[in-house]
Amino acid sequence: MDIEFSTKKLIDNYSSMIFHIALGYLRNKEDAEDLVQEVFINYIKHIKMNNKFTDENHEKYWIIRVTINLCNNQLKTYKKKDKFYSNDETLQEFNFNEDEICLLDCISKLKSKYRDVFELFYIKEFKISEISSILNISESNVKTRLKRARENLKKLLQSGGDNLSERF
Amino acid sequence: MKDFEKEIDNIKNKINKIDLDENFKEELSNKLTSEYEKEDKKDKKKIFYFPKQAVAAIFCIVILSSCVFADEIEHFVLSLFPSKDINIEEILENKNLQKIDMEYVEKDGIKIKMDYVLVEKDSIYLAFNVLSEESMDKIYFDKFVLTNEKDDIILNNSFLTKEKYACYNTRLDEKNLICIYKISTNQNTNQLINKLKIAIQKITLVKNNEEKIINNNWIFYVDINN
Repeated sequence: MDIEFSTKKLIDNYSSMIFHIALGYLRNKEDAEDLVQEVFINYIKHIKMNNKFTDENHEKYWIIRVTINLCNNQLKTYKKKDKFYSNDETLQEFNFNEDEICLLDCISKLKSKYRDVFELFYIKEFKISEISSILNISESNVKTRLKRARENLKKLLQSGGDNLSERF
Repeated sequence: MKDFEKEIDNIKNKINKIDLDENFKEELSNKLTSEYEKEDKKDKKKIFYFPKQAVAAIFCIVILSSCVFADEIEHFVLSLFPSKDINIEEILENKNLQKIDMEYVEKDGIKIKMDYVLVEKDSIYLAFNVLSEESMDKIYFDKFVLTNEKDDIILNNSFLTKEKYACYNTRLDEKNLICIYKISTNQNTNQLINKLKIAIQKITLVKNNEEKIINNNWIFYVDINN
């Protein structure tokens, strides 16, 4: 297959999805763009190592998994650099209100195993069965994590004294 | 709960409204194309790398084989490039050799018999079959005397310089060698000899570069067909 065609197809199919997942995690447009590029480079290396995908879903889930892993790695560097809480410029730029930013802050404080499930279910609207395939965990485990994510989020919102917790 | 879901829905919609710039996509496309090409080059390098490994492996096998089958290789190489002195094999193949039918003569665990003889105008070819109780790599007859039926000494190799004779060993198995001598003479040997007496008085067995000298007297009588 022609390289340019493969590249274009790859970008058309997955760039937006990766970008939106990354944006949910990183809340910084430039970093999310860099991460899109990093995911694709990982993808090319993966393919060139003679790894093949059985179908489109397999490919898509692999890309999402890599995206989430890279996002979590990036968040660790944010914590080290204390950068994360200065990443709200993008949110303000795109008219997120205070309540929404507060909610996103609380989501970002969730443990990664709860946050991953939460992001995929609520922000990217994947089904339980799809999340199970993406994260390689059982469906009941996905449901449990989702329930705990909601409970923890409620606690975080209450401890923050936010009026969102009353609506939760 | 509904409000919460509404909030989440708003966040989701706002995130999904943010899209990648077309310029970014264009740059990304170029970057990924070059990444593909880079990986392709790596693949090609891997393809070229494989034969190098294969060549290295073959080289090692050749070296090891050379050590293990050194004798056979030496034999093979010598047969490809026969020198003036050890062109005996070719001569034995082409000349009308006289086959000698005799029993082994055994002394000190070394059995020797003559298989072939050829007496020419200025040279004598002798092919000895040597059977030893112990394994050996090479054998030399350090001292042997040829006399004719009148007890005239045709030659005594103790007094010959190495240029005058060539010794060539062919190994049949660990304990069995064919030892061929080509002896140059300055006389019309074919006219001088009807019967040949060969007395071998000293031999050297070589095994793993260690020499073992055996002194005794192996005597053979051969009728020469002129």
